[in-house]
Amino acid sequence: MRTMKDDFLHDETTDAEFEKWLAAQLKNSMVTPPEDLASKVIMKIDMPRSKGHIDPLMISILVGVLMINVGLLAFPHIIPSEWIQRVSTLFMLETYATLSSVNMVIAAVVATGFLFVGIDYLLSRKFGSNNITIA
Amino acid sequence: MIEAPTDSLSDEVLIHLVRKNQPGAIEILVNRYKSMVFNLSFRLLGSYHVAEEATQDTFVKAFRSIYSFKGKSKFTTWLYRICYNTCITYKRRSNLEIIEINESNLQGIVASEQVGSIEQNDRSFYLNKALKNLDPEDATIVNLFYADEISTNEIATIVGISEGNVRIKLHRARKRLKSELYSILKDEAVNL
Repeated sequence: MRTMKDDFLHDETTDAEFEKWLAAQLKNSMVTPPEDLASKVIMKIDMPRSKGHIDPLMISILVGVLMINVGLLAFPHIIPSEWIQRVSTLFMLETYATLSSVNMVIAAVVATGFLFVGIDYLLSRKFGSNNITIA
Repeated sequence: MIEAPTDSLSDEVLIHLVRKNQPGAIEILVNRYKSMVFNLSFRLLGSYHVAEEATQDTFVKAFRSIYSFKGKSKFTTWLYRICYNTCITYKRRSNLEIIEINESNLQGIVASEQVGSIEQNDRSFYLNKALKNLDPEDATIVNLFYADEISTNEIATIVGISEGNVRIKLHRARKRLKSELYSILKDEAVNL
């Protein structure tokens, strides 16, 4: 059995012979690609680019909180001052001023919520949404 | 009316059909050129699985940018250029530790391919080992010229250098490959 070591170590090969040998070896050692390569490529091409994803539940919650928030701000214009006092007492708050500052906190929370929804949308657009199911 | 893609259609017609969103045309083109793209990727990257990924990426990039193919060069030249650039990116990204063609990996693949006898496996193994030691550009030039019989003019377009430079690099790479093979085989002989 003649091996490659015999080809090279015991015989002097000329450049022309080496070229011939190299071409033959490269052609003979071709590797067969996977059978399903075409279908994988088509699948990758067909995969639609993610259009981004917004969680409707999160939006509903945030819009709901925002409406309550706006409602609280409108209180002095709609509801008489005694009623405001009662609402303040209901939430164990001493004055409307405290109620107003609580309102600002709620507004900040809602703004942060919207910020997160926005980030989530941009990230899902960039990397695709992930539907994680917790069993 | 759009023609239904068949194997007998030319590259130009198939490219036209790909532009008309005919997935059958993509399949025919992939099946037509997967072997050449895969083998170049395999020789440059040294790993069967990484070569498969690079081949998929090459075709995906090619079909996504099919409108940028103006037909000034052959489709294969354009495809090889994308493949070459993809492989270079893969190498840079991973610093190519995966290029490590270990004995079991390569010989396993070669054996599974039933390329031929034990001597053929032996030859493929040492040849790939020597090719691994070449610069990626030189290895590409050697592969394209000897395995795929591509002209130096086309190789120049694929690699992005002048034809004269391709000839010089080919000559140097061949000499280097020969000396690499001698040194590998001498080492093996000493270890026997």
